[in-house]
Amino acid sequence: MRRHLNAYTRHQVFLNYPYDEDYRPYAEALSFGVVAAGLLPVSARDLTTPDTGRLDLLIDAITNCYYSAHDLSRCRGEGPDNFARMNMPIEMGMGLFHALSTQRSSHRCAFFVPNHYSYQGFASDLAGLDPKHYTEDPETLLVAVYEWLRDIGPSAVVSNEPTVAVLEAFRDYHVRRDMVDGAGPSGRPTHSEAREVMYQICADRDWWDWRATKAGLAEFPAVPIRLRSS
Amino acid sequence: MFLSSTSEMRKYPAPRSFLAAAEAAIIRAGDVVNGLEFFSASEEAPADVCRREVSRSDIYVGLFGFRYGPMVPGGSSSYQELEYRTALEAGIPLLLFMLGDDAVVPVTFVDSDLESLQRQRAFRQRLRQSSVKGDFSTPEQLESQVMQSLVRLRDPAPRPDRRTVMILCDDQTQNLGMLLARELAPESGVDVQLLGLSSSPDGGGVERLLTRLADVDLALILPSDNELASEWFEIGAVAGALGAERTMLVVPEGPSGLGMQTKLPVLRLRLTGNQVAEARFAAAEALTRLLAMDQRSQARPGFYSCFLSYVAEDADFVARLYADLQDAGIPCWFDRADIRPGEFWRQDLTRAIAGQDKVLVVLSRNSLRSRWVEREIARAAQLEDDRNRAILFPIRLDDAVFDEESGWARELAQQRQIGDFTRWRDEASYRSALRRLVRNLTISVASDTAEAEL
Repeated sequence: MRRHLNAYTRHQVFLNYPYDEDYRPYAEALSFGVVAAGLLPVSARDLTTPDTGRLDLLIDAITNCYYSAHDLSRCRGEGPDNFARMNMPIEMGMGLFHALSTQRSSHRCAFFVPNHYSYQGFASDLAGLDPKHYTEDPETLLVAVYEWLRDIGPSAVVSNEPTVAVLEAFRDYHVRRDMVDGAGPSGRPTHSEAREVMYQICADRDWWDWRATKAGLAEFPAVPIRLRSS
Repeated sequence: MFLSSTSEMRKYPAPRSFLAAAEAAIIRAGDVVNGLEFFSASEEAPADVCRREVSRSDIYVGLFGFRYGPMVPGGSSSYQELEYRTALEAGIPLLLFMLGDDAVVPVTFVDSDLESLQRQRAFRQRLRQSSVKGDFSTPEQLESQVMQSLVRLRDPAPRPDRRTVMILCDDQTQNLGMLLARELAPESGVDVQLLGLSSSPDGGGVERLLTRLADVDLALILPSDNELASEWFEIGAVAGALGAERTMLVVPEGPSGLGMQTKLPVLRLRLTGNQVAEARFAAAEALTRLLAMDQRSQARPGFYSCFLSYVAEDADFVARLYADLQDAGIPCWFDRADIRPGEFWRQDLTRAIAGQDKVLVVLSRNSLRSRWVEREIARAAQLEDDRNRAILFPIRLDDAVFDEESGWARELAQQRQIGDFTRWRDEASYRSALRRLVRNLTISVASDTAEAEL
């Protein structure tokens, strides 16, 4: 994790999503949309400093991200007025409330839900914000998050590419990711390795160029990756 | 200023309607009114025009009566609700005014069909839970409220001396919460709100909790269970909304898994024995924290500013760069915008360079001949030495700097990475160079922070 999250506030997007295996393709789509926009994804999975409490890291991460994207697809409520209190992890509570309470001044957030999923059962109103919908195809989530960032981000910060070009890059990412001899289960890329492939794909296209200078290389060191031999 | 209302607000009451009163207030405040009725004929769908115009506005003023208004064709809401949601999503300041529930209005002023009536009531209820500035029943009342809200928005009143502390407790800690509230008595300059911990997020939804937290300076959370298993969401919600600095956990003394999980400020109390003394102790800690918060309230992490050094011939480019940097949240000192009439401008320039974190120097065939640019670069280089950090960021509009065979420009070309804006008239090239510049500035600020900490 970067040492100084607060220096990158205007470029960071906090991604708040479930960590189960079924969600992995959607998590990749969310992260890729952020990287393609030239921004820096931050999620609880990036917060691994051993000497700091997880809650503190989360608070740091959320309050130092100008943008946040929240996927509500695993939230379950207990009644019509219950905001999924008992089933939401703490980062959801913090992320949501930080996002909602600062939306009008210093933070921009969006909520994403699958089409078939009825969030109305527990969240009667997300402070007036309409969730953005996606289908079973992760590419629809990628389109939603990229277009959201492109629409609201200033041109000095967010890339401005045709969405189809971003979709093509995402398909390239899948090809290159599958070539990686990863350190995850069954040789799959780990979270860091997968993120590195995203950076490389988008850097090749000049969308994500944080390593363009010596100082940038020092701040964003590349994660070593080994490709499969065949 | 986007003024949103339904059509009957233009007609009633005669001779001066609610809408006319709101417009008068906006104009008196020195603003320009925009709204649905000002749109000219266009091939665009009216809903798209609405979204675009609202997004372009600086402030959204909404007047809400008893009619839901016409629906967006093929949509699920009225034009007025669409405008409200667009403003909310775009982060534009909202000034919402609602015709009071007890206002006397003609029958035609109220929705007559059941579906519109239900939608209108639900919409009003949601607005009530958010940030309605006031109810009105006469045009004069509305005019005064709009005017006052605009003035306050432009020139926010200084913070009052009083502070608000919210105490969140459950059934078992209610007694301690009440004692603590009594200790934080009015004479200490603190207003206290006491809330049930487990009931805060429901019974009114997110907006209600957010509204309650909006004016809170410090939240004291008193859970009875050290493990907090059932209350993590509430704690997360409060910490998320207020930040860790303004959230404090007050827990019973003894073994706890809490310390392993958080460095949120935790105050441990003995809950057996003299609870009054414990509450007094907790109150003193809370007051100390409020005082500390006052002292560092102005800190702005990740913030930096730039001075723009250039010559008049390159002013078109610089004006564009200035606007885009400002838009990205990077304040810039730009002499056209920042020198006040009558000021001795060269002296002001020297002060201005010293007052900024970074100096962007625009290199071109024109600026390479400028003695002023040369002096500004020398001043920036001196500041780099004094502050021991990167301050000077050259960018170029042509290749002239590489043609120099001696002098400061030659040194600059040899020693610095120079941002390439040579194709700045091409939109895509300009955007790409701009993003790279902003990223380099950001990385430099991060490095400065790291150096300072070392």
